[in-house]
Amino acid sequence: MTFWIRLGTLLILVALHLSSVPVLTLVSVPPSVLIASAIAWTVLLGFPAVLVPLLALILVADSVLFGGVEMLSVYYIGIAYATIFIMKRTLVGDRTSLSFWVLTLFSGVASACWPVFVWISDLLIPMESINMEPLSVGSLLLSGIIGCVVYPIVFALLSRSERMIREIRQDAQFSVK
Amino acid sequence: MKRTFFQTKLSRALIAIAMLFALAWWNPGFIMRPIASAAQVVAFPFERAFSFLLFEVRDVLGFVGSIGELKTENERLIREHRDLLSDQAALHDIRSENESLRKELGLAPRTQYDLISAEVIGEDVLAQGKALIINQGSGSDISVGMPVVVGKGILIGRIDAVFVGSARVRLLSHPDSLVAAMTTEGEAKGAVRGEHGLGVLFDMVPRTDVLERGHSVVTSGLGGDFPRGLLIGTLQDPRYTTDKLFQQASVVAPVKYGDIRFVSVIVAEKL
Repeated sequence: MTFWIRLGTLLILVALHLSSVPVLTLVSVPPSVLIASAIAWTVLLGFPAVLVPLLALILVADSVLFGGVEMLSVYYIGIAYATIFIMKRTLVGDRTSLSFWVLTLFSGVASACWPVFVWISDLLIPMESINMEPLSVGSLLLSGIIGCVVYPIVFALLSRSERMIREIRQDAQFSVK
Repeated sequence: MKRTFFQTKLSRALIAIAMLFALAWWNPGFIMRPIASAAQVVAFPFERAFSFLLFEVRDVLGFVGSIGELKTENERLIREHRDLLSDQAALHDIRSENESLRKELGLAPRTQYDLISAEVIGEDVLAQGKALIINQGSGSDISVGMPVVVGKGILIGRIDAVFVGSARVRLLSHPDSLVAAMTTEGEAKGAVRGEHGLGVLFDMVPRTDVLERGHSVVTSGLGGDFPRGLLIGTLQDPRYTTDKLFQQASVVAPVKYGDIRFVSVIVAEKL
C-alpha cells in the first residue's frame, strides 16, 4: 500500500512538472517542481532515504519528456545533498515555521541557480538539447520567485503523503491479531 | 566508530550521480519507453486537470494584463480585417481560376487533410519550444511522424512519441528537427531546422535562389514526411553561411510555440 501511495505521489509530481509552471508562464523557467520535490523529500525522509524516490522521479519525468535521462538531472541530487548539508549544520532541521520559510527561500535560490548551472554545464559539456538563453537579472529573479511559490505546494503534498504512509505503517505495527 | 568513505552521504550522492550519468550515456530505450508509457497513462488525468485549470488562469491573467492595449489592438485588427477581406475576394477569384485550369490540365484537386484535434496538456519545462504533450494518443490512431499543425495549416512539428491517451510533439525549433521547405514567392528551396529550441532557421539554400525578408516559407513535400504547402513562417535577416556556399535566414513562426493550447494532427490526406 505504501508503495502505491508513493507511486501516486510521484506521478502527481510528474504531472505538476509537465503541466503547471510551463503552462502558466510563456518563457523558459527552471524545473521548480522537481527542485522543490528534492528539497521537501529530503526534509521529510532524510538523505540516503530520499535517493530512491528522487531517482525514480527523475527517471519517470525525463523518460516522459525526453525519452531518456538528461545529464542536467544530477542537479536534483546536488540540491538534495545541499539541503541535508544545510539542515545538519544549522537549525533548519528543527522543523519550525522559521525553518520552513528558510527552506522556501532555499528553493527559490536553487531555482534561480538553475540557469547558472545550465550555463556552466554547457561550458563543460556543450549541449544542444537545452535552451541557452542569456542570463539576466530579470530571468533569475523570476526563477527564484517561481521556486518560492512552488515549494509550499509541493511540501504540503509530500508531507501529506508521507504522513499517510507513516500512519499505515504504524497501524500495521500495532494491530492486534 | 569511524565511518568509511563509502558509508558517508557524499559517497551515496556520488553513486546516485554516477548512476544518472550512466543512464544518460547508455539511454536504454527498451527500459525508458515502457516507463514513459505507463507513467503517461496514470498521470494523464492529472495533467489534463492541471493544464486545463492553469490555461484558464493564464487566459484570465492575460486578459487583465491586456485591458490597456485593447483599444489599439482592436483598431489594428479592424484594419487587418479590412485588408484580409479584399485579399480574400482576390484569392476567391484566383481559386476558381486555379480550379478550372487544374481541370483543363487534368490535375487532381489540391489535397486536404483528415485532422484530429488535440489539446496541449504539458510542455517541456527545461526548454520551451522543444516539445509539447497533447491529449490524443494511439487510441485515436495517432502514430509517430505525423505532422502537427495549428489552424488550417501552420506546421509546428511532428509526433515524436505516442502513448495510450497522449503523445509527445517535437516542435520545429527542436535541435533535431529537419523539414524540407521552400519559399512561396521566390521558390528558394532548402531545409528548415531548429536552433537550440530557441527558433527556426531556413538553411542550405543555394546561392542562386532568391531569398528576401518577408517571404513565406512552406513545406516542399520533398521526402514525403510532410505534405506540400504547410506554412512554417516568414523569413527574416537573410545572410550567407559562414563558408559562403549557401544562404540562410531566420524564420519567424506565425504562432508562439509556448502559447499554443489547441493543435491538429494530420492523420491522412483526403483524395
